[in-house]
Amino acid sequence: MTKYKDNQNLSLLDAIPEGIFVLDKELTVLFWNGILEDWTKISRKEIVGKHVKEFLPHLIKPLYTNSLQQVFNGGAPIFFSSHLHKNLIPSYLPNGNRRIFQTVVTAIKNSNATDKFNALFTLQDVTDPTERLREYRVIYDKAKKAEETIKVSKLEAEAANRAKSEFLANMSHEIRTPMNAILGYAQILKRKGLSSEEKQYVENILSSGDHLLTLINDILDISKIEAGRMEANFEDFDLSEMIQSLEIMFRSKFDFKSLDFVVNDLGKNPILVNGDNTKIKQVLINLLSNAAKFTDSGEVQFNVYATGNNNYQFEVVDTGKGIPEEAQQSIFDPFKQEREGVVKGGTGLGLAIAKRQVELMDGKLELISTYEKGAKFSLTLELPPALESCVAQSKSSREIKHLSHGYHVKALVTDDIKMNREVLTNILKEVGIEVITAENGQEAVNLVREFLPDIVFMDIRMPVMNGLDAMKIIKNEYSNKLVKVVAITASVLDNHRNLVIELGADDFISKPFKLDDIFNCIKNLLLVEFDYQEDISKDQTKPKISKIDSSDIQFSKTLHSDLIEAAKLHSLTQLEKLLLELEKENNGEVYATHIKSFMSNYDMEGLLKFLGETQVK
Amino acid sequence: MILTPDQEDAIKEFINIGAGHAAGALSELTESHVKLSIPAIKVVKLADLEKEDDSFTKEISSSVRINFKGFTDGTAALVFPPASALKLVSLVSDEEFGTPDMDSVQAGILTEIGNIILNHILGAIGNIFQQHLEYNVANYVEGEIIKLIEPDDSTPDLVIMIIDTQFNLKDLEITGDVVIFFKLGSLTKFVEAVENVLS
Repeated sequence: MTKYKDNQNLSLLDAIPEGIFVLDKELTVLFWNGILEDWTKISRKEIVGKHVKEFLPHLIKPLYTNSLQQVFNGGAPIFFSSHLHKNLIPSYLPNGNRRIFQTVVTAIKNSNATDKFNALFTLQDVTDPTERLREYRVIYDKAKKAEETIKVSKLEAEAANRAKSEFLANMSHEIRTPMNAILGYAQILKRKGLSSEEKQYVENILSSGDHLLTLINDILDISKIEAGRMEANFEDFDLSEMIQSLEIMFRSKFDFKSLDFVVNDLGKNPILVNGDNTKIKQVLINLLSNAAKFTDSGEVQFNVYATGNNNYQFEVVDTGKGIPEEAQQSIFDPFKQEREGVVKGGTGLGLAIAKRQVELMDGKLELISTYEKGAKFSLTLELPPALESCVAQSKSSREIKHLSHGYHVKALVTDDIKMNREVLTNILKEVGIEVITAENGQEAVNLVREFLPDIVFMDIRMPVMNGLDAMKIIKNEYSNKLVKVVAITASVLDNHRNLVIELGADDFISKPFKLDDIFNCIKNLLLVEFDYQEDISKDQTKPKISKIDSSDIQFSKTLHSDLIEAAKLHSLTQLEKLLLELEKENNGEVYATHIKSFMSNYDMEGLLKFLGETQVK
Repeated sequence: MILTPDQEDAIKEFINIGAGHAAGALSELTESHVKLSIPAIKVVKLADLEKEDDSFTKEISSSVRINFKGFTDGTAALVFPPASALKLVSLVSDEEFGTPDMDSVQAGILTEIGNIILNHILGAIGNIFQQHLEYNVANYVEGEIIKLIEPDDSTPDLVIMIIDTQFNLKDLEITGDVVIFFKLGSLTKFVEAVENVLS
């Protein structure tokens, strides 16, 4: 104890910015430094020489006395953490908060007896960092809770979005399936010998059905856009042809309303560009339809400008009522229709879809309108030149009458819904295609094995075995050339369509069926030809020579030269004999039929040309 | 192998007594029953350890370290994977801190736990040698275990005692290691001491 009376040591221990005190084995306070006087308001004079319990009563709890025993025996230092020993030394800050300490107790030799040890307590004030940590924890907790809330909301939103997409796909299927029967039968009916009145009724069914389909597609389109599932599909096309087709499409509409329709196009020469043909056309149809709907007198202008750097500007200008300024802001918002729009009908989605479609193509759609003086919609798009030198042939607008003479196609129609089966069967039978039907995938697989059809139309959603599984089996068992499989899908979602192609379908057609799509699909996959309505008269005088890629044919050398010889001699009898031989060759029947069509037309020059292009084994 | 199975068993016995005392101290601190068991003890040279276990040099851990000196010098450490350390701190303090990293308050609690355990285990080893050791104050260290070794001591012959330590606290099990590095030259003394105990 005398040691602590040393003035120099005292001032040294008082100067250290930590609380220091010493206990002997009997728990008597031997020393109490200046900082502790300040922190605890217990003076050194008061406490030194007293038993610790008089001032710090909990230090005599077994928790502490047991540990201290180790120190009094000269053992290892003890560490008391601030969090677990909050009340070790009561001390308060001027603001009333408890001071927080971290304490180390070390054994120091008793100066009087070297084998005895005292306990030196060193208290470090950690109030400030601890308070800061506490504040940090509160902030952290809040942030974590907020993050969790966001995470939960995000998961909920994703689930809702998935449910929406699922609903979308189902609704698309559910609505389009009955529409398929309505529009399919109407198309078949139209081909029958109807009176003009009946024809008009059928036309009405078709146009109303088409309109209903447009409305459904609009709603599906906007849902697809909102779900981020609409994609731009770029392809080469002739811009000039598109403008002309729009002119033809709308001319009669404007004429009907006695409106002038002024088209300032870029000339009639082909302008081959690369862009999303379907979406551009859809946007322009939308703008022109609106002009037709909202203009009662005056004119509608359709202007197309090439503004340089592959940029094109399309303007639809009308002399209608125009759009009130307050409505101009929201005209591109979904389901927002200004009063006039409500009166005239529609979903109020057209412009919202158009705007998003244009954005998807990195273009700009703007409205300039003065109320009472008409509206001008301006569409600006970059359309780089076509990638390929030639653009795919435009679809024939002629009506298909029958499979060309000499072609035979056997088709298998697979659909669990009877009405769908019947519609497609009738469509195909009408043009001379032989049809067998199946109600599910399993039945389709069995029929393919039995009859080996040229083409299988396969619905996807079916009981027993779905279309995808059946398709896989068929594709596994038969080569691509032998059996073509066309998936029938009512889904409008691009990824569903891509999936069926990825899984091995050669093509897909959508419900409701479009006759052109079906026939084009057959034509492209089986390389067959059709006779068209307008071709019939020609056929009577000069049978149509169907196109066959003659480079695919390989005759034996003798047969080839004999055929040329006979053709040169115009010897039909000799040719007929040679054709019997040809029919025995691989694929010979098809080519024999082809040659017969030259013969029946007495076109020996054409036959010689055809034979000249064929290869010899 | 540095120690024979008999020698290892003898050490295990001593250390279990130390662990028992440490568990008593921890029970007092937490006011709930704490069980501390030592399922296995291994004494290896650093060179051999590095060959069989790269967690020493690669894995980050939360440790409490004490240096000791006397008839043998070295470092003792209580080593946990960081997540286990946080869990132990939570159980001992009966508080969920919520933050993902060890802060100074939590490090303080772990230091106190480590201090108690290491003191008792080192005390038990002191008893094997029947000699007194001096210790410095425990401190918290975060990083690879290998960094607990003083650079001068990191020789292939460094003897390391690894004591598997199993805490059972409030019905939960937490596993850690007590790792003791004995400075160069202490191995022979160590084996001799163990032999004395056995005889």
